[in-house]
Amino acid sequence: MDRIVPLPGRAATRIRQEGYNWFLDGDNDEYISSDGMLVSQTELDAYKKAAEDCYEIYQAALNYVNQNNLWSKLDLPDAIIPLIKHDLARGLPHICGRFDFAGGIDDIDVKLIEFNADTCTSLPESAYFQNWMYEPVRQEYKGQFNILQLHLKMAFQELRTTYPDKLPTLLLCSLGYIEDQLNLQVIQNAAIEAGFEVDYADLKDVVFAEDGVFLESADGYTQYFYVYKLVPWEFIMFEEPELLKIITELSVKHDLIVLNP
Amino acid sequence: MKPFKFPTLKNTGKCARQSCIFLTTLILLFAFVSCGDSSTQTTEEILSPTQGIVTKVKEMQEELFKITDEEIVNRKEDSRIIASYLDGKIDTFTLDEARLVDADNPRRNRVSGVLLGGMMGYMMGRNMSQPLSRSAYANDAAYNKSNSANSKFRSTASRKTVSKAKTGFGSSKSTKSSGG
Repeated sequence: MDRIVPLPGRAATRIRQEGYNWFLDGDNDEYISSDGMLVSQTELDAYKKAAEDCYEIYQAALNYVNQNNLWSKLDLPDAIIPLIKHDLARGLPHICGRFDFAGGIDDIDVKLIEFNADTCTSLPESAYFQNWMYEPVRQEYKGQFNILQLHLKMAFQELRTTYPDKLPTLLLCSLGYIEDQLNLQVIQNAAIEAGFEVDYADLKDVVFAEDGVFLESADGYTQYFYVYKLVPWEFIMFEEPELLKIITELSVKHDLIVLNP
Repeated sequence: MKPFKFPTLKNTGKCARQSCIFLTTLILLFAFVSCGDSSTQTTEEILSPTQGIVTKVKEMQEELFKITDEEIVNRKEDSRIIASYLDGKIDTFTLDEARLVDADNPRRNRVSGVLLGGMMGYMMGRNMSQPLSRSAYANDAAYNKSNSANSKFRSTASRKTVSKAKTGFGSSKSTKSSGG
């Protein structure tokens, strides 16, 4: 089949209107393609199955490590193991990750390149841009199949159900890079739809006190019981070991929830 | 249910660029490993006054107040502010009254600013580890007198050690996306 479908305008107007012009300007001027690619229902099913199968394998591996106490084999700093165990024991949900696959078309098998389980980006593209780009060809083709926005909202709703006594205040943080902040807007919108109060801060401005995570403002301190970070655990482990210690203490003693776990 | 998602439509050029950024970030991370500050203190000592202060304040020019005298009194609740105004009136009020934003008493509000720079500032919540402010005093004599009184005042303060709230993690570490 002829797979390439022109997507007139590549939704540039809408993308700008919604404040995502960073994805169109400067070095990114060729980032958003003005073409789409068709995949068949069978191919689509194969991608979905690959994602679900891979996720199950990762989970099985994690459970195996946990049950057999094989943490030392993973070459992680000792300091993070208590936090991993604690988060596993309290069953914190994994909110969002991205599988990068190769193949999947023209009878080539789907092959996993990597799983961005911790700090995945490409959220505005997946949740918003692709739907906006699809508008001009709505009559001719079926839309893209991901319903990321809805899934994110459901994940945050589930958190509220699991922790009914916890005030739904969520702090989003990153190291301040604009792409990370734009990605966190997707998380913010989903969490707000799920009934959370949400604020953003660069990690450097977040106050880690003995009893919780706060932001300082003219009105005093605001406490957050949930944190979604676009700061990799790898960075926290190796660059900010003291922060890791504080997060572990707050998670264990004050039930702070840091996502993705 | 575990949400999952798939890569968006993107040109391969961008993919290559992202890989480069990721590698650069990794290299930067390792370069920074040895730069951590291992001597950061995790606790601090908080001093709180156990005695009170009587502060005399004088209006030197219109709306410009300076401290002319400070004296330690035994009880916190005996703290007073005695303000002498240019028109010759004298007003004596308590610490609580000084804190009030009293619309009927705008003069008192104008006095509060200068109080913070003196020993009375410690009664109003200023950190006792900060020194007195010379500019709050009318002259050297008043400043020196308060400075020596302040050592006694500090010696009777109650002390407690608290964990310091930490902030500033990840500052100036990266200007590139840390996502994947």
